[in-house]
Amino acid sequence: MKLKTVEKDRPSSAQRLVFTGVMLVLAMICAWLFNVQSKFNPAVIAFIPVEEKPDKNIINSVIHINAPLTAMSPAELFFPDTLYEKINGRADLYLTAGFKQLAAQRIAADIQKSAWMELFVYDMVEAKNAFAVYSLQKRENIKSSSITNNAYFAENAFFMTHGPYYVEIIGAEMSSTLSEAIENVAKQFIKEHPVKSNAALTEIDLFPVAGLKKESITLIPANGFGFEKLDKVFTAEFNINDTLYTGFISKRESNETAKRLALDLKIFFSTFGGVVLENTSDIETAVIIEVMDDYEIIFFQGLYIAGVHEAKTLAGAIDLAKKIQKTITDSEKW
Amino acid sequence: MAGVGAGAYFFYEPTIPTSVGRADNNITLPGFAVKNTKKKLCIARGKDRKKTLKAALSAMGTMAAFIKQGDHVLLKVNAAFASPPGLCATSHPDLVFETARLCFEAGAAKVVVTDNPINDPATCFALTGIEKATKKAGAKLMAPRPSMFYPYTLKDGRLIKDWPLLYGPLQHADKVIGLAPVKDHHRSGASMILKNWYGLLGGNRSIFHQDIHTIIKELALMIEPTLVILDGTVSMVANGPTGGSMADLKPTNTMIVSTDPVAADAYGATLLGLETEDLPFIGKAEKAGVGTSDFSSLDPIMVQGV
Repeated sequence: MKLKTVEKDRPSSAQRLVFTGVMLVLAMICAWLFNVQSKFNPAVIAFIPVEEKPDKNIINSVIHINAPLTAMSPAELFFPDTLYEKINGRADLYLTAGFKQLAAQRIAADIQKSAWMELFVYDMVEAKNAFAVYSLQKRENIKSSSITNNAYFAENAFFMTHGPYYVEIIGAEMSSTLSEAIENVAKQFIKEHPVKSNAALTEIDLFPVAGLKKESITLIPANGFGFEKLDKVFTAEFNINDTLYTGFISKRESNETAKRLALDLKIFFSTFGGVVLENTSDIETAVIIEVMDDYEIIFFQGLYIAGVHEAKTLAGAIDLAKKIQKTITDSEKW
Repeated sequence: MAGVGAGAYFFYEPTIPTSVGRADNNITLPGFAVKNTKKKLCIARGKDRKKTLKAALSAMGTMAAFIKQGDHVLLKVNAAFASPPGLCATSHPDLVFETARLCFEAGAAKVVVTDNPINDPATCFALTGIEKATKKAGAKLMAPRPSMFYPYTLKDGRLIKDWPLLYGPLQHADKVIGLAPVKDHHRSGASMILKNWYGLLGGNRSIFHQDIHTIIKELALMIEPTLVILDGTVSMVANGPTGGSMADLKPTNTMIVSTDPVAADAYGATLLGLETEDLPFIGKAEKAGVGTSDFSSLDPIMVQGV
């Protein structure tokens, strides 16, 4: 049987012309679209209507306000997308530390409203987060308060953590009457918002006592020492032989992640010209790096990464690192 | 594909939404600087704001060198937060009062005080004391309303394009004076004269925080003021821009008055212990031609012990 050869129809020149024309038009549309879309006009964000605050953003009061205190306004609530409307540029600090909600209210110390304060209650979800924002904004020349584990007066203002809450009470002026009223508001808040203990801050107890400047203890929530992977790291200053040193401790999810982070931190410092020195510290996992005339010591043990940051002398840094390692080792025996 | 392209073209909106103010896209801003005068800078040292301001202006030819008979003057203050004057987060009412008073003394027909605060405007103007000071001086307070905002585009601007501008108070102004305190700022490093113009923007302006130094540069290009008054009597040296504790404040006893906003901010930076290089927006504004960061090149007049 003879097979028929079927010749495929080839497009005519007219068809080819139309096809080319259509593809050209489509290409031009794509180019035009790309050109328009590449020029972002911020005004499309400007005109997103700011929704009227629903009732849930206004609450009667943060605390029960008893005479002689009087509420000057209802309490306002702010959330991550509206926190800027209250505290502007400082919002970043809270947002990176796990912020959930702010309740703010102005309260007069007397019926005449001659002296007033503003109460800010930041719900940071966890005690650790609250401590982070508290410690990073700690003022100098403060007067400690025993109202909570972390509380102080700084002239006209009072600051404290209470469980997951970071609380600021800002007095409009300096006066003993207002200070007393502020303290009463703080106590009232604590009474009305019972919380669990601050068990999450165990790292603080791992700093050795000798030479420790307790008021310097800080929790950096993110980008510790400029390194994006180093988050939730406690730091503290130590005075050793009249020289200041900074120790650090961070608890990680597992032994493996602590070890890996220590290696990453070593690489980070090396990237900035750090030179790895011989480990003369007796700490088996330690790495000693000289970075621009300062010394970094990094080691890992169990769940912890720890060490000394920007030390001026190597001997002092090693001494402190060994003390930190000892407290970690001792804690593992508890 | 052709159908998709046609659909995209059908839905394309070439004009900006008209939900804010007018749809008129032809808003332009004149320069408010006094013509044919060279850039000046005066630093007056003292604790009393009214006295240091008056001393600085006297050294520069008095307010009459800038305000003439019949002028409508706009004072762009910083009333961003509902914060009492003692916390120095906003323009001090004593300074607002004295500036307005001196404008009237120089022959101003009208003095208007304005800002678009971050918190509720009425509360901000009241609790900062600015409302009271404005009225006491015989000036008019113009709190922002939606009808005062007009879309504005900065020529060659990347961020300020079709953006709501508080044009209402600017519309009839002959002269514009910026009044700002010296403050630390968590995002930009410092908030002084150049950042003060942020209060002329409306809309969801917080998005510009992602490129804070560029927006400050564009604000500096947007407004050419007659005069700027940077209040470093008590500077907020930490925890800005809101502060809260008087422990955040430092008495720096300095009033900076200038016709060069960049130079004013460059000098103001020194009160915060900062160099110009620490504040990129100053370098950007200088590069854009707004002024000079080398304030010493203006032969500043120093008035001591006021």
